[in-house]
Amino acid sequence: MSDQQKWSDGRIKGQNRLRLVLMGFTLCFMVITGRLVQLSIVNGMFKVEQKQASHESRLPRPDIVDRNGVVLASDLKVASLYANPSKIIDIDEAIELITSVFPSLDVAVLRKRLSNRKKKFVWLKREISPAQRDALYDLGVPGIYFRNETVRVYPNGRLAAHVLGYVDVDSRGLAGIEKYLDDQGALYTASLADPARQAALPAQLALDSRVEFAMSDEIAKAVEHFKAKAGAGIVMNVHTGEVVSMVSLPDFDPAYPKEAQNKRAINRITTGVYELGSVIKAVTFAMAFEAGVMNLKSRYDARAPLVIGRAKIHDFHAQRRILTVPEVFLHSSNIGTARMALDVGLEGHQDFLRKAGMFDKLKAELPGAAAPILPRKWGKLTTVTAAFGHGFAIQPLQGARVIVALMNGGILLPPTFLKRGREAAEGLGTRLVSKDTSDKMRYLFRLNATEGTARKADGLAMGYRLGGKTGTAEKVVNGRYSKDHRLNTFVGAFPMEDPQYVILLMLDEPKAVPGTFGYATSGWNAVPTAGKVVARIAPLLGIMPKLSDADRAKLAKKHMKKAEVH
Amino acid sequence: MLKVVNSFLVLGLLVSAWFVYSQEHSIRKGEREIIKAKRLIKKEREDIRLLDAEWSLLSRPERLQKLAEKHLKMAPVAADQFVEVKQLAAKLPEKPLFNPASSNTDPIARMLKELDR
Repeated sequence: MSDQQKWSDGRIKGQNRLRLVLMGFTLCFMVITGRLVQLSIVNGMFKVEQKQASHESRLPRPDIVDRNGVVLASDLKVASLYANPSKIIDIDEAIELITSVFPSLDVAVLRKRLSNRKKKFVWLKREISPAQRDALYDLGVPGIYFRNETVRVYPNGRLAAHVLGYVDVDSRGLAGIEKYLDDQGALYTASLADPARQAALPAQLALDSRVEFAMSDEIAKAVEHFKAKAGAGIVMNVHTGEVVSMVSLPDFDPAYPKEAQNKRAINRITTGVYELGSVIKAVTFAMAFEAGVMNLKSRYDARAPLVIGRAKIHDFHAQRRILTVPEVFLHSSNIGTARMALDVGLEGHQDFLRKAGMFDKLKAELPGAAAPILPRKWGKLTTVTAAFGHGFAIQPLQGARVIVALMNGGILLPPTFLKRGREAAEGLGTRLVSKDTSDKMRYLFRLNATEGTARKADGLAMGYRLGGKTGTAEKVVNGRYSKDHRLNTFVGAFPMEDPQYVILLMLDEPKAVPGTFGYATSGWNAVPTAGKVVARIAPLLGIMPKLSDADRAKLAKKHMKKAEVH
Repeated sequence: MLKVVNSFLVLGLLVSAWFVYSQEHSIRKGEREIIKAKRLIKKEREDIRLLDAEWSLLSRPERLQKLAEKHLKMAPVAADQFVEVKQLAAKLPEKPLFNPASSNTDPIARMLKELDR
């Protein structure tokens, strides 16, 4: 081995060692670089939006708007005014400046609060408006501060209170749609309210606030005029099952939820159940048509009261003769309707009512839906009374829903308080009756408005082709049906040649008043009220009136009379 | 050779350091602007909500009805007041309600005139 060789060996060894070190360093740097890339780019891409810790404990709530986007409930930031007395320099000046913005504040109380120099925090005024806050801010009083708070406001006041519900101080929904939103999950509710989200949408109701007000106004007038205990009404779109308006009086102001605790202020449309009486006859008619035991030319014997065991069924407007099917409908004959139900049979009757959803608790979005009250045993007498709407109690919403099915060509739809398009409603419904049965029902409804008990409604809503069925149900008082306590109902639809909307209106215990000639049956109060409602809401709902020359002459006469009064 | 490489590396280091610094600076500036803009957006959104609620409060049907009954000689539209576009020509009053030629009877023309003045 030569020296030369030894030297070169050492050199190669040194170079190898150097390479090793270099590789080591390169590896180290690559690891660091890789980690940097991972941290800054990969993680950064997915964590662009980090939630900022909220300083508010209160979850935001989405706005609630009506079908046209009118705000019905909203979260508003309001400032509250407080002071730190230890930091106030000149009390007199501070008081003068504060009272210049809030003249209603008591100077003596204010002085007492601000004089306590040891205190660091005293409230001066809660929930001030943004304009007041700005004014005070511009005055620059030292030692005066604001704290932002969120409050739920209902700008329309009492309007649609039963649909909206209300929230508690911690902003949790306690009733109505407010509770429904919470039941969907608080985070879901909050996400609706998050304005940063692209899809952020307010909760949109099916309700039309103009229709809601028109109906609420007319029902309130009727309740006052007929000295009724309560009134309620509902308008539903027959093609979508949307509740366009729901009124139940007495109501409450959602800003003062205490009023809602009053038992009289319950929602009569969904949380109350009632024996709807004669309006249920429409269901019996549809059932008899559908079962094929009856056509429009059939006749029913109403010469004598119907005797079932020990019970005798009478007619209110007894005709004591053989009645045709339209006559049974127009005179609202209990005997005729009972015979129809008996022709269908006990089983068939129950099956139809079950199919129509009357035996089940109907649950739409509103919480607190009431279950129907049904007879324990279903006998012959049960069928007879159920045929004209007695012996079982359902939510008025259930009644309206069945009428919707009878008017729209036979499709039973699940009702909804949220906006739903016509496409969305397709496929949701089930067929209850055939198109043919629905057509016959439309004929009977319209006939009843032109010649029968609903004439007054047609006269008041002239041109809107209203049709319907009236009901005067005696209420059970102390276990007996009372002649003096009535629940009067009208259920109808318009325009009858192609129904778009169903209206159901109820008055609880209306009295005979001057102008009704001592009568307090439905035709004298619920029916004209419904007529007034339809005359006001049909134009809002886009129904074009059609008038004959005779109608025009009558209307012109009415205008003249009004002009004379003024 | 090694000297040239080293000087290039040092130069490279200086350039990249300056680049990184300037980038960081501009990003900081951008971030500040974003935060400011977000705050403004949030405030605008709050304002819009407030105005929406206020509009809803002022235009609520109950209030409008009261005001209309008090100040206007108007009533809900009656069924015979609807006219189809096809029949519009037949429904026009024979005499125009105001004469556009003389501006005194046309309230809108009078308002426009006052604006011009």
